[in-house]
Amino acid sequence: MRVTTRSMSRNYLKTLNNNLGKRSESMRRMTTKMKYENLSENVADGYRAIRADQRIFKIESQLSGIENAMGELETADQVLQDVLEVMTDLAQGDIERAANVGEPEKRQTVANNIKIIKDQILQFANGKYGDKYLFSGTNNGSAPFTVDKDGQICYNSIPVKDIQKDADGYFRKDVNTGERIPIPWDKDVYLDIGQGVKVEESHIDTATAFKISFSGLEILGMGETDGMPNNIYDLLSDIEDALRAEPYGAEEQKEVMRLHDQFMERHSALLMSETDLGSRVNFLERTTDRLKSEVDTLESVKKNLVATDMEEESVALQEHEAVWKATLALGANLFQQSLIDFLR
Amino acid sequence: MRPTFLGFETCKRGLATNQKVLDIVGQNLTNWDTPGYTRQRIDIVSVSLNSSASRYAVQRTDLAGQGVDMAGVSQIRDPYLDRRFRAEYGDAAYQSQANTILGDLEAALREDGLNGTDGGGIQVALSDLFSACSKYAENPADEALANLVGVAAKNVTQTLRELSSKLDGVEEQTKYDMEISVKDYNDKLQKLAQLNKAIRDDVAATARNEYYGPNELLDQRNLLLDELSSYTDTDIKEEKDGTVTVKVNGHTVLAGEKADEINLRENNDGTVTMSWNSTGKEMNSTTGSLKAYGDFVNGAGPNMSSKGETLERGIRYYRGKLDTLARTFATAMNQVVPAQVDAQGNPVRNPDGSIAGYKVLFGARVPKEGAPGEYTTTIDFPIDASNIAISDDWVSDPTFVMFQKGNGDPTYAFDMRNLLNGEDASIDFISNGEKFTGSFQSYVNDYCNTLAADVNYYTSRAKATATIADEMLDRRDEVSAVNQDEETQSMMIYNKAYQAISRVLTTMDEALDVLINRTGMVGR
Repeated sequence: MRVTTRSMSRNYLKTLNNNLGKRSESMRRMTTKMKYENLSENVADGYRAIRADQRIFKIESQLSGIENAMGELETADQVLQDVLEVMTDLAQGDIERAANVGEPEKRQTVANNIKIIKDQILQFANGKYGDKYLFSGTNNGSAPFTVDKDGQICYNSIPVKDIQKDADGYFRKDVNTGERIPIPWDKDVYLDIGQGVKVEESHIDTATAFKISFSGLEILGMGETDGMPNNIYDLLSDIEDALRAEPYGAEEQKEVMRLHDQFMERHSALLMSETDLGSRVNFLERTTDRLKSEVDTLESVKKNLVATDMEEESVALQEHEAVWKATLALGANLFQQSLIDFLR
Repeated sequence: MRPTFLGFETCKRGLATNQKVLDIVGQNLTNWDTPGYTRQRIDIVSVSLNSSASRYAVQRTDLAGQGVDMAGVSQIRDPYLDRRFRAEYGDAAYQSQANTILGDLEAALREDGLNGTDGGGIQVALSDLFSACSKYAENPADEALANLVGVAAKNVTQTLRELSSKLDGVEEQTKYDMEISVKDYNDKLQKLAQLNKAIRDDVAATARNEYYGPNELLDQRNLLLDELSSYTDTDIKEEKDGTVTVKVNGHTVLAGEKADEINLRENNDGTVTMSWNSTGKEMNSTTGSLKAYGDFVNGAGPNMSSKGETLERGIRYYRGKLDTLARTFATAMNQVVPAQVDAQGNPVRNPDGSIAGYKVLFGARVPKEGAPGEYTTTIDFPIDASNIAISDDWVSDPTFVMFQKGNGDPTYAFDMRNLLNGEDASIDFISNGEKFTGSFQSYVNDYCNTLAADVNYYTSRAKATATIADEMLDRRDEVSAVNQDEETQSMMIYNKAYQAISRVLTTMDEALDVLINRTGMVGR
């Protein structure tokens, strides 16, 4: 092989440039802490890193939603506890004791107490988390619970005792025609907890979502049973009216006790709702832990895919430095010496 | 009988030959790094007397020993290696140019490195909109959150328009570079035609032959032919008159002093066409950077729809991908939020259960009729990445995206969010020949990956072909380039030869001195 000065010079410069380039690349990896910067440099790993990053972003968005929902549920839980607390005395025998025929003053006292409790319940039922009504379903424009001129509690302006529920949701029947009329603005509200909420034809697939809304109708009760309202507010109104009845005799006492039994049932239902709320908060806490753990895993995957191994890279940088210097030294020898240098 | 001064003639030729060799050694040493220089050599022959050339029988012994002579100054070059190098050089130039154009596209469309959720790409804008929709889904009755969705949606449209503008920039720059390359190619052809003439005249005037031509002119021509081969494929044939004929995929572009030029034309649909000046027919090179320009400026990939487009995934392909994204985005988002609400806070539906109508959230931004300088947004004009914008209704009412004020139903917020990044989103992105089904994020991921894989492929190909071309250059230099040691050795050898011949001349002079001045002097 004939080695010519031009090819030797060209190849030397090419080698020097390559080695300088490797050194520069290694320094870039050290300073940016990234193995590569462009997706085209390592398509497979880069794509996996991008997917991991996008998944992390999505989970963090879900975590933010869950955090918000937990705040909402905890507030709802507090409201329910407050409602239960104000009714503690009633549930622990105040009504039973006041129902006695011979104690009109006590009846008045309990009746007055019930009136105050009813106002508190109404306030709690219209409780808010931020700007959002807690027990309003999808209605966030106005307070969901109001009291009509007859003193009946209404949900979105419809008397609660007229409201029923079937598989298609809440409704009332038209007084004249018996036609089913849906209750406005009372769809359930859902949260994405990492399964991705599916929507088909503007309907949420409930199997893919976590229900966070609490319908005030479910909690306070709706419709009637044996002519008695199921909702706690109207029921307390009826008890109050029954306690204030004049004259008050054995029949009235019997009516108070019948209403008291209904009250105790609704009280138990409220306790159940509170338990349900607590279990939902627990579930969201577990979900939060699971998603955070997933984020940790994905961060680790992403790091392995794109982050520079600093120890390995610092050794590689030293190698590139050494090779580069050796190449420079070689050049100094390579081009200094030729046959001309040895002529006398 | 030997002529008296025969030895002097022999010495004179020897001295002249060795001096000339030293001249050429100097020429080689000084030109060792001159671009295109081919090492030269004095072809030395021993002078012999051929009796057949004489009318009379000649006694060979008397005329023997006439020394050396120069046949000519030749170049040491191998035409096979030239051909191989130029073929590889054209291929390397094609891959390198393709890589440059795709690299520019990647830079224009790039997300922020490998982090899909920071920076300023479309992926980031879509992620921000996803995030805004997620927040909005937490409380769809909150007007401030609805407003955030509007801001994020506007950012998506602005990002799409920016990316479209960047692609315009890449296309414009590439076409400008292509124009310069075509001009350079044409200039080189003209220079080659002039060199052909100069070489032919020189050969005719000096009766040189194929071995001993005007070396410096040949070097210039060879260098130009090398450079020409980076633009197109080049089939070069050396003619007897010293000129070269060059063909590109069978079409003669240079013959003697005649050069055919390339015309570059931009068509109405934005494609470019290169054609031969002489015939008007399309220039169809098989390799080289001009082919890469044509392939990737006109490259629409599988979405090719016109004659001027090519099957390579080039600028038009990725512009089409962006336009499809914008169009599909607008169409899908315009099918999310119901336009009418019934008394129960539910969307009004047709008898078949389908939604009666949707709010128009996005459209094409077009000049407003009768109002110069003003724009309006419409869905009656084809939507693409360059004109997508949020609707006029949304601009005037930041809460327009809300299904119903005060209604906390998150269904539509979830629906929008799912389109952006749903695991099971199945939006059809339909281009002329391609169809992709998935979410917006997966669609962007897909075309970014395709582009990255294309860049990766052409980077590898460019490196591989450049290595082969370099190898061929080394092999050619093995034959044609200067070796300093070799030349120094020649310098020493021919210097010695020169000294030796000078000594011979001195000896002969002494011999003649004996003959002339000291012969027959006995007794004086």
